[in-house]
Amino acid sequence: MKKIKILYFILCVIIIILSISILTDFIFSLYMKSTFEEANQNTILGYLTQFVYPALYTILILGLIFILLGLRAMIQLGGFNSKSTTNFKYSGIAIGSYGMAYLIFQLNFINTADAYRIFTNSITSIFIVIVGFGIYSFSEILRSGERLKEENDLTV
Amino acid sequence: MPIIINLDQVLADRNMKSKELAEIVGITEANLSILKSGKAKAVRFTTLEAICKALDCQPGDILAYTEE
Repeated sequence: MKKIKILYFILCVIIIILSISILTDFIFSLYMKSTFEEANQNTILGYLTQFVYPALYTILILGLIFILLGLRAMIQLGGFNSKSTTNFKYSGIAIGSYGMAYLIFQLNFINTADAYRIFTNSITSIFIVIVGFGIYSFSEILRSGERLKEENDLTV
Repeated sequence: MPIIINLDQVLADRNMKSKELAEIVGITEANLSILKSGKAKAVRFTTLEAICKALDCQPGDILAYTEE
């Protein structure tokens, strides 16, 4: 349980840092319109590219929050419980969706001819999709564990 | 559940209370209540053995099968 508490704390810090990062990113994109227009002029979405990042990171934060809730339920109610199962399932879906969306978003940079960037980002996205699928699978394991626990509790 | 627990009947026949049986068998009253109410998913052989020994009966006296 100590390790779960450490993970819970680390996730809290990551979520706070990411949230601040998104906020500042969003504010900068509003006030430095011309700079971002220039930077993203060759992309398909153009100036709108800057607004896609906060949207994508919001999905990621949502996924991390679901993991946080799942871990908190684990700390409060024990290893196997329905709350954790549901939260990890939603988290897997959110993180997987983030990975897929980020992968599709790479098409936005196809005109910039920065092949190396597109390639590395795509590989990262694929890994994120795998991580999301892994978390989703983990929720299935939790569900099985929950069933076993229930059977064990009801064995006289 | 097609398995019926006749523990209440056997206890009444032996004039024994649930609390006494729980103490003799070595299980909690809550668990005995789960068994009596039919909510139990499984019964350990050791528990069944202890119940049969305490009530001087056969497993068939406690458990019965009926079509749903």
